[in-house]
Amino acid sequence: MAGIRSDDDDKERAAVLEMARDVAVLARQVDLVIPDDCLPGVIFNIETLRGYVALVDGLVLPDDCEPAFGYVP
Amino acid sequence: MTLSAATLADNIRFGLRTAREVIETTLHTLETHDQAYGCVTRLLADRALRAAGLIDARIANGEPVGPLVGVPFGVKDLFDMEGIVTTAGSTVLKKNPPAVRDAAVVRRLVAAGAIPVATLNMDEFAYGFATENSHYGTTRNPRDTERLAGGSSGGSAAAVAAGMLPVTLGSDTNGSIRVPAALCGVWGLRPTQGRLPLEGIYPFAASFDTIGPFAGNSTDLKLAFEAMDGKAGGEEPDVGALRVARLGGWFERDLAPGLIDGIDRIMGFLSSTKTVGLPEVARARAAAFIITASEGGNLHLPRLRHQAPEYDPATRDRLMAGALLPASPIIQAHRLRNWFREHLHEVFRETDILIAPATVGPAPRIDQPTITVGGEAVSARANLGLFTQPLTLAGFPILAAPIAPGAEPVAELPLGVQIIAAPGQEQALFTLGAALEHAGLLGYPVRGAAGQGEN
Repeated sequence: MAGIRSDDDDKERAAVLEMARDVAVLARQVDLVIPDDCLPGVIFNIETLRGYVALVDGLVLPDDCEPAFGYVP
Repeated sequence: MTLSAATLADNIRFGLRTAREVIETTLHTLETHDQAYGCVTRLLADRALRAAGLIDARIANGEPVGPLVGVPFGVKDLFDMEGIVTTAGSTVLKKNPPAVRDAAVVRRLVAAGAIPVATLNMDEFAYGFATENSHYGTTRNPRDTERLAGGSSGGSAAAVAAGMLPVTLGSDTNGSIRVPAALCGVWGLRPTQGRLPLEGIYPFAASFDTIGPFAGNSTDLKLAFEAMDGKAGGEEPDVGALRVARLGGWFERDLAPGLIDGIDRIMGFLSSTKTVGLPEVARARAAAFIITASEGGNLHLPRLRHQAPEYDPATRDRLMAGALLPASPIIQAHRLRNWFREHLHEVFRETDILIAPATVGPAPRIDQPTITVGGEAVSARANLGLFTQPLTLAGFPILAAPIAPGAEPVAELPLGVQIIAAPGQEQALFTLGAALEHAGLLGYPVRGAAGQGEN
């Protein structure tokens, strides 16, 4: 039975496709091909990480605060 | 296996039992009882029996033996064990060559007389808080087998809680010792970052990776840690002189009533009403997430390019997402780590010990793996580290200890606290933990392998 596609459905579909394209671009940068069946899970995790990125980026740190690469507690 | 490590070692040292008897009994217990829990991935029977025979011969010859003589122990399946492949809870590494020698801390435990008997289940590549493993099965909580054991060192915590092993080893990157210790009602230690050698440990996120012991009581935990550390603990502090505070704010949210009551009782016993807050805890947790995801993703990227289908799908998708993170937020997360550490050091100028919950509540059900945070049900696998991850960022030593149950322990599921000290101050954690255990405020009866409460 054919369904009726609403404008919202079209927008959601467009957003998913755009996200998939973004992920493909990111993956190419590290020579990784994301198989289609992995894509929904990878997108979900990227969205989760974006939330955490927004949190850490939201804190303004002094310029002399260095990364903790040589970390000693 | 129902005796503590300390008692077992004394019994063997003084000839009340042979090491061989102990190891045979332990192997039999693991073979017959573990089907209910799913802790064990491989038994090391031949090796263990050989080691027991050598120990019995040493004792018969009057030769000196170590403090953990004849004590059986298990290791999370990411510690190298000579002659077998280190799986890290995955099948992805199955074609790797067998380890040429034991991990450094295993060698130290063996030098102290302990005998490895089994490798233990974990989340694949230690990426999770549940020990739901698509290759080796789900580890069930011995306190209620319908519930999660927690993870990622779930097999290690559950084997102790079930009374099958007196000591086990795990790793803790974001809470993988503290979370399962709390949910299973056993003791665990995340030592100071960098204190114990990671040689022969399969990595996860190098910035945070630590290893530590589990045990059924504070004495055994200390014995195991000192053997792993290669030296006896330092001078014991005066418990009455320790300046103790509880962590407020983030660490007071969504708590089960038993946790609030348990921490209240501990603070009352220590005559402290002090509460301190840490700044930007949500951002600290976010930084831990980002560093972990990016380092884990980078570590696995070469295999993800060619062996993606061999991974547990949940692990694979998280690692792939982590591998795609750009550099800027990773560097920002590392800067935030430094900033957060400075604040924690500032807190410790006025305080010696901090106390916080380990999880928001008891073990979630396996068929409903969620916890409630901010009034919403969220994934347990991803969020059981709500209180452990922010503290991971600083790298300070943390003791995970079970709150003592009330009058009817059978009806209560375990709840755990984190006790945090300044870097290098593990001895203060052991001293305070033992005092609170002696006072009846910490400690949860380890199950006998036949089901009776002991220890």
